[in-house]
Amino acid sequence: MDNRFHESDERLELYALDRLSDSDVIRIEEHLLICNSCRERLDDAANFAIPIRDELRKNPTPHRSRQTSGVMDWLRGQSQRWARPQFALAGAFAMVLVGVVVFRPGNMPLVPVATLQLTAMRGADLKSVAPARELDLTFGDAPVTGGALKVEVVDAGGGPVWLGSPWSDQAGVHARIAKALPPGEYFARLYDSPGHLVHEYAFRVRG
Amino acid sequence: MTQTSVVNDLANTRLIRSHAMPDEAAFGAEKERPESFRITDWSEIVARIRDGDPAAMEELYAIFSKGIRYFLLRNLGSEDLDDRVHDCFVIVAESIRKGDLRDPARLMGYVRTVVKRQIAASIETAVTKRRSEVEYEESLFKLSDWKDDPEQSLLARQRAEIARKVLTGISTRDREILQRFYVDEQPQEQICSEMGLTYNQFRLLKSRAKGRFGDMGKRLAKGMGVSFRHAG
Repeated sequence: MDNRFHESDERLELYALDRLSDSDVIRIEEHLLICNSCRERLDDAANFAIPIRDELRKNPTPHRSRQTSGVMDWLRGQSQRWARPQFALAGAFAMVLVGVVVFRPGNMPLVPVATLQLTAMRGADLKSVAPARELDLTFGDAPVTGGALKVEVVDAGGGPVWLGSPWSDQAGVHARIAKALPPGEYFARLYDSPGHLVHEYAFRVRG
Repeated sequence: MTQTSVVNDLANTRLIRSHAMPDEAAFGAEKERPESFRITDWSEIVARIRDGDPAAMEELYAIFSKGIRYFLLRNLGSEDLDDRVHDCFVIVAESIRKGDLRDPARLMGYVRTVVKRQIAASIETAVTKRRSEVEYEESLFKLSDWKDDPEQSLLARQRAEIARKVLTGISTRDREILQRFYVDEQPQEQICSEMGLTYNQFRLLKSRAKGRFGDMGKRLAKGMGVSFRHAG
């Protein structure tokens, strides 16, 4: 592992956004320990990239360039037909429909509920799930405490996302997060009734 | 992950979590990068520490102290910072003297591990302390805010506001490009291919947005008479 060399701005930005592999993270962090220049550039990258990302998450822009160009190609191909009066009204109606489909915010409809089975085993792969309007979490290896449990979900930055009471059955402990989680990594923490952390689970909502 | 293993598991996480740097903020300032980087012979310095050479400890401190401070500051805040840096050095020095560091070439990796463990232990202590001091229902939503302070919150709000202005001032297409990269985590090759961009156009777009962000930050800093960069 060679950490003598300065990191590029692109890689520092990806590091700040938590998008590098574990081995890359180790190499960068070892270099950052001894390199003031890269630490300063990392600050610059993070102070721009993270607020921009967070703002875009809050107010997402639907992807439309690709779809739009496809529609425009089709429209160009149909232009001769559209010039004829008998197709004008139908064409206008079709345009409205196309507009509704192409420019609908979000563009990709979320599935109603996604389910995810989590274990707190160390070394286990990070479980991931597609975005959904609600998320059912099952904690397969949750301990039997006999008391009331609480589940807290935080994002990768430690910010609280959801807090609620789970329920149990033979399959384990379950919690339903009744909100859509933006893509990213999350931690679900299980607490017993005195408030002791019992288990922590990591998962990822895919983009 | 049991409670007793929280510290160990936290130690496996990154030294910097995915949030904006709370201190030493520089809005968009382009830094000149040195062409070369000094390569340190770790085996030599490790051998001298083992032999009890105090000058070697000073060298080790000079090499690592700023980096260790950097990571500790960002993860734990400025409280007890000097003590925490000192604790890390004591652990590293003791390990070297006792011969626990078998491969001197792994010194940087070992220092990183020590820092991570210190961060994890401090977080665990803070969480436990917090939990014992407040009601259970209250504590759950405040587990992560123990290092917040008003100044950092203000900076974060300012950056968010600047980000909003930058994004408002660009075209929908440029915004989509940024959305694909920063939120959808698409690789730049995919973005360029799907949106008909060259790599340079993609870089230029990001660079312009970053430049605007930096300019607005500087204007804001000048208007407020504050500096966004201060030593930790």
